[in-house]
Amino acid sequence: MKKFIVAVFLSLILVAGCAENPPSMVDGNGTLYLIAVWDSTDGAVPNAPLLPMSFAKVIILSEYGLMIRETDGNGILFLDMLPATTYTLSARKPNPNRPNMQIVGSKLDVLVSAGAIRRDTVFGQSFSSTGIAINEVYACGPVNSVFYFYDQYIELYNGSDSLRYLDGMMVMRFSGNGAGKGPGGDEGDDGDIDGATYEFKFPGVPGERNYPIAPRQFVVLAQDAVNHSTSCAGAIDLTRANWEFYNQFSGSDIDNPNVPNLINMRSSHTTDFFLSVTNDVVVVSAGRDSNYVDGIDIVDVIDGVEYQTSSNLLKTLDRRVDRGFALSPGSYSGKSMQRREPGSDTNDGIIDFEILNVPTPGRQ
Amino acid sequence: MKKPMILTLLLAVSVVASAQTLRLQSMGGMTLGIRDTQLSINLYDFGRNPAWLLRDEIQSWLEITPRLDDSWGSYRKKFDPQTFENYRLGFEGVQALGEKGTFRGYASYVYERRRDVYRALKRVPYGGDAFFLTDTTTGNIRYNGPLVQFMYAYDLFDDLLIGVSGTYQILDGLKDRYSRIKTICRNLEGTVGLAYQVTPALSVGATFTPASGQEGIEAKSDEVYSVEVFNFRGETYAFRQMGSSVDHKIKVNGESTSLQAVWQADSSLVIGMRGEYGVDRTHVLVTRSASMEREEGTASLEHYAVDLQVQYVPDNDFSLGVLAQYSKNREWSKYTTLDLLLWDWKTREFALGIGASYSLVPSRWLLGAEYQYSGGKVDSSKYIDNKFRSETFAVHTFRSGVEYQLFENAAARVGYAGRISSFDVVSGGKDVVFHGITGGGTVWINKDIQLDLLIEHGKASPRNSGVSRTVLNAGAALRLWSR
Repeated sequence: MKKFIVAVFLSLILVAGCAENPPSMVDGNGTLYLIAVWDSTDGAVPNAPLLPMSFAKVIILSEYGLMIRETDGNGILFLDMLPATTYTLSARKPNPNRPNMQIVGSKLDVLVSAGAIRRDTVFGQSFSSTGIAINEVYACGPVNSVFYFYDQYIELYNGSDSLRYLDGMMVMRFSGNGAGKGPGGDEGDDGDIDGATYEFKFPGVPGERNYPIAPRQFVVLAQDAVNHSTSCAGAIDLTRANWEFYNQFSGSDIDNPNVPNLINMRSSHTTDFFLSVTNDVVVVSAGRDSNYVDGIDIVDVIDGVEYQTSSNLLKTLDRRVDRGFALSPGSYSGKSMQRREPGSDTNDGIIDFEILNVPTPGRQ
Repeated sequence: MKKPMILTLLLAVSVVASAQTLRLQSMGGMTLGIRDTQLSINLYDFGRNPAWLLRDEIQSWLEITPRLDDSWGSYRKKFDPQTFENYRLGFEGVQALGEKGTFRGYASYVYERRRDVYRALKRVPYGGDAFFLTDTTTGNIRYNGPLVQFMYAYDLFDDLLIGVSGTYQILDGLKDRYSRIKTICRNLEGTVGLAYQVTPALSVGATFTPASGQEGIEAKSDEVYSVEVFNFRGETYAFRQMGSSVDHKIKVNGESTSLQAVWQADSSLVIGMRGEYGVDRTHVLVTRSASMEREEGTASLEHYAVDLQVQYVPDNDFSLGVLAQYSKNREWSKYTTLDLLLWDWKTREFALGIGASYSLVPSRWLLGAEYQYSGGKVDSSKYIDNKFRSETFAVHTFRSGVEYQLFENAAARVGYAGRISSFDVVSGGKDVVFHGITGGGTVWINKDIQLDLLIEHGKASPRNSGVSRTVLNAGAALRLWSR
């Protein structure tokens, strides 16, 4: 019996776990060799020589956040000791020939593997902002603990060199279509985006020329164009907003008589133009298609932004409108999302937008 | 660096390293060359084998032990608290059941407060793995909860003893500022031990200790704010999690095996040897979406240690002790999804010590002193951060103490502990000097009631650094003997 007990015990000790062996590959030794080039003729001359995007700002995004580096005089960026992951790269610089244009080149899903050198080329294109874009979205509300978020605003920007008009344009929030592809998805693949829940409209009809927006002009659309800091310390004074969302079907919506209104197109909707504080879809359309029931035609969309707190979440806004989503700040943090350069729109929110600690209505 | 780090963390809050009784702690923390009934070279005190409880504790007693351990100061690592406060009240008892064995039980309640913790959310941020969890604020975190422990030893046959012990601890944690994380720590450990009296002079033993622990960290948006936390892989790279709720779990399991032998060479010389091998595995689990829990990384620790201790007691007045230790640790961490190594570190450490005590019987003085030299090497390869470091270190430790028998029923003690480290493995400081003083005493209220008191104060500071860390510990033990 004694021997049996001792034998069982010693067997127990012998079968006790041993340490595993570590992996043979190590992290932190990936290398990225990036060349950024652009065609100064923008394709006008076939086989035109490509020029290096020298001293271009390179935005490098990954699950680890954002890095900003610069190419050298030959348009080359060499980064070593990188963790293995998938990167999104965007190189951008002002067009040396046209001061009002940006050269922007992007590359998605660039996999840098452990111990390997990833060589890649970014081809830049000149972007003259084609027109009106959503430049800033302030949705999270000021720092407060009473759920105050009524100082939300959307800022538009005319990045073109010509006068544009807001007549008849619509600003929409997409938060419906939850059962299908989600807010802003093209349900049925019929070329429109579905799930619009708010539709507010500038006065007039598309094509009219009563409400201009000048080149390089910012236009602020306030939820309520009042001084919100009198209601909540730290909230934004929007009395100088250019436009105000006003729901004529609501009995309680504030209307600043000195600020023109965008009015509600849906009588069933009786609240103001509220945005979710951390995740939502905002779309601006020309207003030719106002039938939200069967979806808004994608060709009618001028710009759209989807914002989320994490890049791991499911994207729902159709990729033809926006390929990625802007990372949003936390709720009630007093921060906004703004394009890195005014109106610079590569149709990829994650590259185009950054978080601002202090919102800047009416300016960059 | 888990075990050495945890060990050193404990050292940081205690002036004395391994003293087990308030009596020895109040004498500078001497452990060598001084006789104490609770620090003998036998399979229980030295070998930590629960089976030998039967031979070590032959009387029943009950003890009440309030205790505080505080430390504060700027000599710390980035994620360590500026101030650490630990208060606990313990109850311990031994019941000798004769032929039915011996039972020991312990229960305590811990209240721990960590002030000004910079962003770190894990209870032990420097546990040796490559994974840190942080939020965006500096705040205070408190932990509180009970710990229960039992031990039972039984004489299976005349010369074969078996013992089991179990420890269960649960702690609730709460950060008082955003992100207001809530933590639940659970630790469970069991030990099975066998001890065999080969001859009257030689006893051998073996123990097997499986252990399991989990730290669950949960942050929920309170009122209106989103939760934002950062999961670090190494020191540089982190991915952000933001949402209404964030869950993070750290699971640790492992086992260790120990073999012990004690040889009573003659009535004045006793030699103890102990060897240990242990493995710990850490799994870090992160919930990245509503319902998907994913293993973020794992860490594996391997630990070897050999201890040799000799005590020579030629007569009742003089005692001499010698110590030799060697230990080796290795821990590596990997990012599970890509199976890539993030961090790999190794330590090798040896220690040699000698101590002696002498009793001046006529004047009731007991004087003791000891010296210990430790040396070793730390190799750290933080691949993810591209940081590589190799350091050798040497530590000189001095301890001395005096006990004076004031009256027949009262004794007073004072002590000094000093340590000079060329390199502090935990905090990274160079040429760290520590000075500590201790004091205490014993009062026999009557023949069955004994009260021990302890106070320790010390300060550690890297030379010419301008920063320091102060420790203040105090404790009492009221023991009721059942004779």
